[in-house]
Amino acid sequence: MSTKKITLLSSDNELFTVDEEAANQSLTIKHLIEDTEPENGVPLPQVHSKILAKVTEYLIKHANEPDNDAAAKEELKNWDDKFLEKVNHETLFDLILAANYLDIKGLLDLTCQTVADLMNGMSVVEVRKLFNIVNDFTPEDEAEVRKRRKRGTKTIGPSNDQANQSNH
Amino acid sequence: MKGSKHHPPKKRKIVSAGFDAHLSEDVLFCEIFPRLPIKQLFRLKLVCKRFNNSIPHDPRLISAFRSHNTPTHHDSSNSSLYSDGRLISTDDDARIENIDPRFVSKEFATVKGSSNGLLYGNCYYECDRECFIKYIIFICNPITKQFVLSPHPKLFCHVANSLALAFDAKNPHFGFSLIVLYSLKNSNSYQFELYSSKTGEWKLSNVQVVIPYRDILGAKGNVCIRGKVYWSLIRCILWFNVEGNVGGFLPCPPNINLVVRRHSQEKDYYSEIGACNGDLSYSGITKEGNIQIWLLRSREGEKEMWEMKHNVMLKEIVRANWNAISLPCKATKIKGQNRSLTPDTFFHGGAVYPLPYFGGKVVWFWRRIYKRFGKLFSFNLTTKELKFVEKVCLPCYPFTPMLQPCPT
Repeated sequence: MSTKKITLLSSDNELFTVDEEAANQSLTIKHLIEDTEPENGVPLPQVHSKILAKVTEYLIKHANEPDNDAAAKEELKNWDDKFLEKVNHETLFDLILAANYLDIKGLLDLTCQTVADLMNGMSVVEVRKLFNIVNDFTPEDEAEVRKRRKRGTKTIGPSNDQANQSNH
Repeated sequence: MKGSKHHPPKKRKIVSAGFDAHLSEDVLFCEIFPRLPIKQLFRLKLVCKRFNNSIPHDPRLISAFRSHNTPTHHDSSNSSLYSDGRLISTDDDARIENIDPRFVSKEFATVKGSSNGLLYGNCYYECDRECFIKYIIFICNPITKQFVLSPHPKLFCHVANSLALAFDAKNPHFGFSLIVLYSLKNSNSYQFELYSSKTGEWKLSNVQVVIPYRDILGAKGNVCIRGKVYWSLIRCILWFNVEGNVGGFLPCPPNINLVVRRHSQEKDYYSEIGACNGDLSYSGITKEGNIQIWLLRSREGEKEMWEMKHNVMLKEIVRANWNAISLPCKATKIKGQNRSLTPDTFFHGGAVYPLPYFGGKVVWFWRRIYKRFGKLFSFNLTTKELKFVEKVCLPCYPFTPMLQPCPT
């Protein structure tokens, strides 16, 4: 087994060292190493050291994923839950962006599922606040959308889209 | 503002897009939204105009939703039971949503089954031009509220439970097929009539399946897994592969001591078939009152084998959990008589039926009260919790919501 070390360079020039096997979970890093063979660490200008520290923590823990060991899987799952327990929303979103950019499927799944669980049961106002989205509905528009949603099942006709267009 | 709660304070700031999220739209639509329950997803329409226009028709959302909910990967977290115009979710809080397909036809629409996120059945439909009513088959996606209509098969006089729909949400460009199973009179052979959305007409298949014993088609549903449709008979399971135009039969799981009851008129039996992560599942109730769940394992180059997945000792579970179940009313009035439900009378008359198993940690079953009406229970295999869910009426179909538009 190779124990080659990979150095990662964050946007604020901090260095992180991980095993190659751990780093290879990120397809972006894997391709960067294959293509450019960087000597002074893999530059990741989009990821801040605060986030990269979290990401490397995840990569190291998930480097040797158990295949058939149910107990080890359970332990890893518990670790995942703990990993995101004390993370605030902003960091969580930054982690999603980092996981998306670095192409780490496991981390992306984990963080997105956390956000989805967070959103489940949230009111519209809470969702706006969570994602910093401005309500661009006029009160009339909003009433119309609400009405349309309530009517829902009574909408008749195969060409729903046409009906929508003619209303505008 | 009737019916709506207090509105958020009006924002004076004018933002052109209304969308200034922390996360990119791609991440939201491809990664996060497909993980939400359908109800929460539709609620997001009220967040901003951008969401209102994109849900549920955004192509990114549709394709991501498809890959998150395909039978091979999905963990059944999005699966529900469909009964009588409502969706009963497998989540612990057992959300119930109305998804009445009566938007197809005002007058009359009966659901006959579900397949990969679509409901299908028959309805009377008023044709605008000719001003007469036709009896036809509908296929609808109750989530996106779209539907397509198909003509009725030629040979078939009434759409019973042998009508099946084959549709692959992963390859929607193949369209859909409808298959009707016929049993030939006074023989043990079966034939299939097919409708393809590509050709637009019904055609009798030349395939004939002969089984070595007499059997009857039960009043239960059928299931379509990877283009193969299965019908459950009492002693065997018939299948038909649409693409390959081949048919055959499988035996039921071995040594399963099933309860079979025969009325003078209707025949009833105590098993159901379903799809569980791409495998065929078979749930039956034994004479001892155990629910057994079997999976048909098919490995390449090997013969298909039934494998027992769960054996739920229902009698003991009901007895142990009886006081914990919060039944709204344990006494039921039938024909003027009060019949109270107790652990002893729970299994009387063989009134407990399993429901199709579609993976996950919940086993559903059903206690008949009167005719088609009964009480739905769920048993959680991990927490060993028994729960009364709802009063329902049969039939119940497993249903996985999806955003794929109706095939044409």
